[in-house]
Amino acid sequence: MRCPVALSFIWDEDSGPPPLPVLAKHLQRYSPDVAWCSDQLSSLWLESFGMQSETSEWLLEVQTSLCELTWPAAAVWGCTPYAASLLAQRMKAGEQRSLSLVEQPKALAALPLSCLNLGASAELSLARLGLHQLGDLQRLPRNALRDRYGEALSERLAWLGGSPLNWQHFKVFEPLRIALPVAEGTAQLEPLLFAVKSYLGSALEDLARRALACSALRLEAVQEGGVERVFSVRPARPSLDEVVLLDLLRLHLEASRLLAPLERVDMLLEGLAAPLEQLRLFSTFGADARRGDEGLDRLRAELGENRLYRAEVRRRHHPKEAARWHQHSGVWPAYTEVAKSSSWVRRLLAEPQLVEAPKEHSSWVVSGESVVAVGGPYPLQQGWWRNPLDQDEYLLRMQSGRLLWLLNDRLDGRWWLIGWVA
Amino acid sequence: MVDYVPLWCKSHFSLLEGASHPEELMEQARCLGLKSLALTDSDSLAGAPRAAAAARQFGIKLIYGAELNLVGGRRAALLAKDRIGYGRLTQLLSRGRLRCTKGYSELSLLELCDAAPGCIALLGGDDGWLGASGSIKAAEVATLKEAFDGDLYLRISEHGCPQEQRRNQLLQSRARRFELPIVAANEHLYHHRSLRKLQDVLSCVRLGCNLENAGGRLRRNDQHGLESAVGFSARFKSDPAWVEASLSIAERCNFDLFELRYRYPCERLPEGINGRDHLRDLAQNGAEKRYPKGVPSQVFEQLRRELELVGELEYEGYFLTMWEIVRFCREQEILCQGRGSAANSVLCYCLGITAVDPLQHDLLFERFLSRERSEPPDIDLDIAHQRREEVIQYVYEKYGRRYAAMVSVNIRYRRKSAIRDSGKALNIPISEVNALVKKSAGFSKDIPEKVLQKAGLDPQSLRVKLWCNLIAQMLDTPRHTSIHPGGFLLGHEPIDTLVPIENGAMAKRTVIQWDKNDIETLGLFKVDLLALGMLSQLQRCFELLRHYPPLKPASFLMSKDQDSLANIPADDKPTYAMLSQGHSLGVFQIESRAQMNMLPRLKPQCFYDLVVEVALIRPGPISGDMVHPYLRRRDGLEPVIYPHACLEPVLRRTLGIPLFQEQVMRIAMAAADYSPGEADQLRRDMAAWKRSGCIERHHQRLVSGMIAKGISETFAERVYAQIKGFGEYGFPESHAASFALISYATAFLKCHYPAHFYAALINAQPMGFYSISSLVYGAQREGVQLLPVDVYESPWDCKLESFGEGYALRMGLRVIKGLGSAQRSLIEAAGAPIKGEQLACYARRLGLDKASLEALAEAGAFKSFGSRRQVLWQLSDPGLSRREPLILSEPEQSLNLPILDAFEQISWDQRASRHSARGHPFALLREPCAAQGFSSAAELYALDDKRRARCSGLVICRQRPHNASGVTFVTLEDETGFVNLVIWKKVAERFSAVLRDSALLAASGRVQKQGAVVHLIVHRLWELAFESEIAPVPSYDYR
Repeated sequence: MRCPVALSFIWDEDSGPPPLPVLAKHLQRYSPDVAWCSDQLSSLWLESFGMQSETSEWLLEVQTSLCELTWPAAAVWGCTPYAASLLAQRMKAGEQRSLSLVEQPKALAALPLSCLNLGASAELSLARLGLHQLGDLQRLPRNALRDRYGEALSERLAWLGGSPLNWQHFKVFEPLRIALPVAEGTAQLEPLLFAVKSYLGSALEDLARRALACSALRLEAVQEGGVERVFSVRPARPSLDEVVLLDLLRLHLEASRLLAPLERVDMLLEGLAAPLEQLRLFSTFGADARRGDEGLDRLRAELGENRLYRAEVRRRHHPKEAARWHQHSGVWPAYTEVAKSSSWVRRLLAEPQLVEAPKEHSSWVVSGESVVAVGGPYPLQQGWWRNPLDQDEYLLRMQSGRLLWLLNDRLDGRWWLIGWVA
Repeated sequence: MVDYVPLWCKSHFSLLEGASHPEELMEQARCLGLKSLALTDSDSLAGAPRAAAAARQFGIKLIYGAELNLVGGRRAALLAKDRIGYGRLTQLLSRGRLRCTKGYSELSLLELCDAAPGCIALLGGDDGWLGASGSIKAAEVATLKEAFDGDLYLRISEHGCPQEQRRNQLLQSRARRFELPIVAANEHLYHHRSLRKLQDVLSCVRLGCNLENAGGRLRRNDQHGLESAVGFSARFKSDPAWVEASLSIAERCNFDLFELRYRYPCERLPEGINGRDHLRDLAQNGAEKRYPKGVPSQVFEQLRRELELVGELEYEGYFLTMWEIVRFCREQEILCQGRGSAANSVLCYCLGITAVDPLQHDLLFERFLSRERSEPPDIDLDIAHQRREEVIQYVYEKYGRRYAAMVSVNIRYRRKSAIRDSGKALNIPISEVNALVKKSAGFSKDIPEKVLQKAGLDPQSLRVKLWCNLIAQMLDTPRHTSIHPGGFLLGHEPIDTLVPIENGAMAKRTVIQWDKNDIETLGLFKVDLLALGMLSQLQRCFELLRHYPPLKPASFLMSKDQDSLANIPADDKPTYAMLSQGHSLGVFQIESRAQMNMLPRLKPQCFYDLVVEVALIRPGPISGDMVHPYLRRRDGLEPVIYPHACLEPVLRRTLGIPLFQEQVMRIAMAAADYSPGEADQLRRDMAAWKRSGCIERHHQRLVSGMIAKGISETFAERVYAQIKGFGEYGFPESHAASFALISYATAFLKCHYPAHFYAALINAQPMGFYSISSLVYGAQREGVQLLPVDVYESPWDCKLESFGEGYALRMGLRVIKGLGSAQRSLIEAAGAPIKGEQLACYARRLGLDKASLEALAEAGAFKSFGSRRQVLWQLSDPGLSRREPLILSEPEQSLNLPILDAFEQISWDQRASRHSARGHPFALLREPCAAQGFSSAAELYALDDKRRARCSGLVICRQRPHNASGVTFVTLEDETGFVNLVIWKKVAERFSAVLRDSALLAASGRVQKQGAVVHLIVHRLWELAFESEIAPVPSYDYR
């Protein structure tokens, strides 16, 4: 940006943090470039260069429109963008100020050190030295400060001096809105949590498909009598972690109280580009990952995309669960050791075949062949904690000497041929 | 008729594997019509005593065995045929356990041979040796066969698993090849198949996984429950002989755990003398020392009686052991003192085990030992807590690790742990688990739907229902074992022939697999070596008095191996005067807020008053409504009357009010014709009445007995009500007397040598009721001069420095938060700074981490190097932590950092070291406090009764006793002393958030004054806020 203006939004516990994507979309009516910075989550920067009217007049119009959205903001321009944001945060809503670079040091001197977001440990350490304001830092040699407080402080001091900020320019996304089913007349907040639980997973998947992560989760509720309530939580970083978001919401709801029954509740998920470090959490690289990647590329080139499958052998009692194929489209997977088993080598049919139930074992015919001997039943009871499974396994010795592998479902009584022993 | 014996059963004591209590297995066995059952826990006999007791109850023949882990992860079971076999089995288990870390065991295949003859070995089964494919060394089989000589079996199992078919074929072929008999035995992990879910969950906890990813590591079905003979035989119909073999094995196993004959180790005796004579000689010598003016005939007679009973019951060894341990403690200058019922014995007093003369205090010997009670004596020895480990290691060394081991404790699932572990196994999000833990406080077995809803869980969901069921099933299941606080089992023969010994989690500790209840069940002897912080304090105080001789000579100080504690002058008037004013901060047992308030009412004048004081403020006397009648009679406001002449000797010393357990026993004997043994049973029933309700059976006999003696029914009923009150928690007089002796000693030292007393008390921390902060400010109020920490002067512990005509207390580095034993070693190795040494050099020489250096700097320990902020700035130089050659350049130019003002200095001290030697933070806040109308603690005491007042201070204690009808008691502290707040239930509810969370409280209300005892009855509470922050002090809350 050539002439950035910092807009700082005023917010409190009731309003929740500013919905930056929504506000950015609104501000794009006034400026072609709107940006945000992960260190200043209540500020936006607008490009004011090329605007036809005076900056102050143009800003007045912007601020008025923001007031109408119930998101009043203070504005500062003329100084370095970071300093402008810090100063704007200390001003009243609707105020604006133009500040030259010469005036900047004096204006910044009285700001508390906490505005630099250095983290509790650095702030505590500086406070112990009796350093509480930005002006106090001038007492200390810059190099010594960098040595002691590292790059974070050094970087911020550089930003104050005019080094470029890590701006992220907005591509605005509409928040996802889902109407939650709430029983009419509910005056408790706990049911809301259940409703959110039911929908949050799929909503996050939806965001993830768009390479976004949730930057804020809002519940917009309408209470009896038309009173509106907003419950809003915001993770420190945009997140796709359902448990974390639910936990934050749980804490928020536990601390809140309803004064009238609910009539309607909408869940809104605001999305921002997922941070790189979050995406990195999901990547695993083996020692020979590069060669593995090259090999996979060759196979794909030869066989075509989506033709690579990976087998995963798992130690499970149920035959169907003991092995799994899944399409492999990513990079070389880390090697996972599979415990060696001394059991027989078995072949599993791709699809189980329904076979006729035996009337008498002696005259039982399976796949057109007579059964000579029956081994079993071997009871198999698994998955009691989700989908209980109650089956009996059988091994049939056929006239040809083959060993067939059958399952009998105790619930419906049906018999399935699932494979054979090699 | 078809029959079989389950030979492979595992109980809860196969930790996190078996899912049933041994008692449940026995009961189920009886229900299924089984006559016999073998308990084979994994590498353990921990469940054997419980199983033995249950087997007796249900008429089951129990076979004792264990499944042993062999090298390579294979397993084999051993069953004891007789006492010799049982001993061999326990020795083998001990060997396997002791060579591994806690929780593991491993033996080689050929070591199994050491269990023969006397044991039957079962090979094969799941993971069993010979049951696995692969080559078998015929020579190994031959060795085992030769050793076990017909007692080696192959175990064939049938749990409905297809792999078993192949394995059983393999076993059959190997049985033919090696000519070994086969027996049918299934692994029984629970008594009923409904517990399969619990078994899966416990397995997940053991394996560190959840149900989703546990896969094949869990059992494939519910076929691991006990079953009837018919069902079991049907599994092995191909060869019924395999099932019959289980019966023949059971017939050959005829050992019963109650057969164990145990002899207590007898002290190495002088030549030509037996234990009885040796004990008598020691007792007589001891009596001559105890009574230098001549042993009174009454003592002589009682001693003779006690020696006779001890000899008759063959308990000499036990007393000699205790004498030996006490002698060791004396030699090593470790303070120790017997307590509990042992103080009723003249023999213990003469042997120096206890310090209270039972005859002087008219204590009841039957409370300790009686012929009618077939129970070993129980002597609890308190030892200075910081040196107890020396005594423990001495016992190990003296008796040997095969003859002495500590008793274990089974740590069982409680609500929180059950919720957490089952939640993890079910893969429930941690936030939900935490929410349920938080919301379900106060509920154990059944968690109500409302609580579930509050925790954000749907009570109707199947998953939540399942979770709740599992939580209920997990409760009381053993999770892991720990070490008993001080219980030792000693044996004349190696105790590893009685019970397996294993390594404890603590270094150099070996423990047996049985807990104290098991020991009691089997009638074995336990020696309790308990840790008592106050003895450490006394010991340290004596050492300080020797190093820093006070102006007022401490003539009671004795040389090594003599008892300084016993020589403290008795009946010291200034000491009692101090206590009568309620000044008991730091005094053993009578320092709590309630005790402090009782002291000015009771005004103790002699030792027995202290005994009463110790026993009076207990839930038993309080709920039995004994406190106020006693005080009224003491103050002469109520006549001292006895309901019957026969009770006068019993109740005379306590003014007609029964205060001690022994008095209740004596009342029963005198007024209701109980025998001493029956009276002791009454005491036991009193202690357990809430649990068992046994006390009711004494009601009729006590009341009618008393009425028959001419005692009024009203009094009889009142006595009965008081007896029930004792069930809450009543003190035996002997116990109170032992404690009162230490109380008196600590009070004496506090009164005459306060600097020494407080230095020792702070050095013995953590212990007692008050935090270091309260102790330091208490010392200041009592005129002790305090000097702050300084690396030039302060050693690790507090010390004394000459100051005027007396001593000042120099705070030691131990009080600084964040420093522990690791830092202590480094600081002591580096020593104090050398004169002229730069901070950077000294800091590097110390080798401490950055946080520890900063802690020292914040506490002001580096004050000789500059102001705290300057030092912190220098220490934050990253160059200090780099292991580079030291550059002898000019230190960084000093910076113009703000200087700490007086309040900041105190606040920093408080934050860094939990106290300030410079004064109480409220001393500097007095002006703003006074401006807001707050009275200081001292001013409050000067106010009239029922006056309105406001006060403020640091919260040091919050308590809500269960027998106080919801009243909350809070103690505030300011620079002049303590303020006692009484907060009625409604007020507490109204200001609950402030009451719970605020460290600095202000209160307004009305003064309540009763003699020297002053309370503020609170009407309003609020949090006190000042511009400058005051670090909170640790508060003693709701304990």
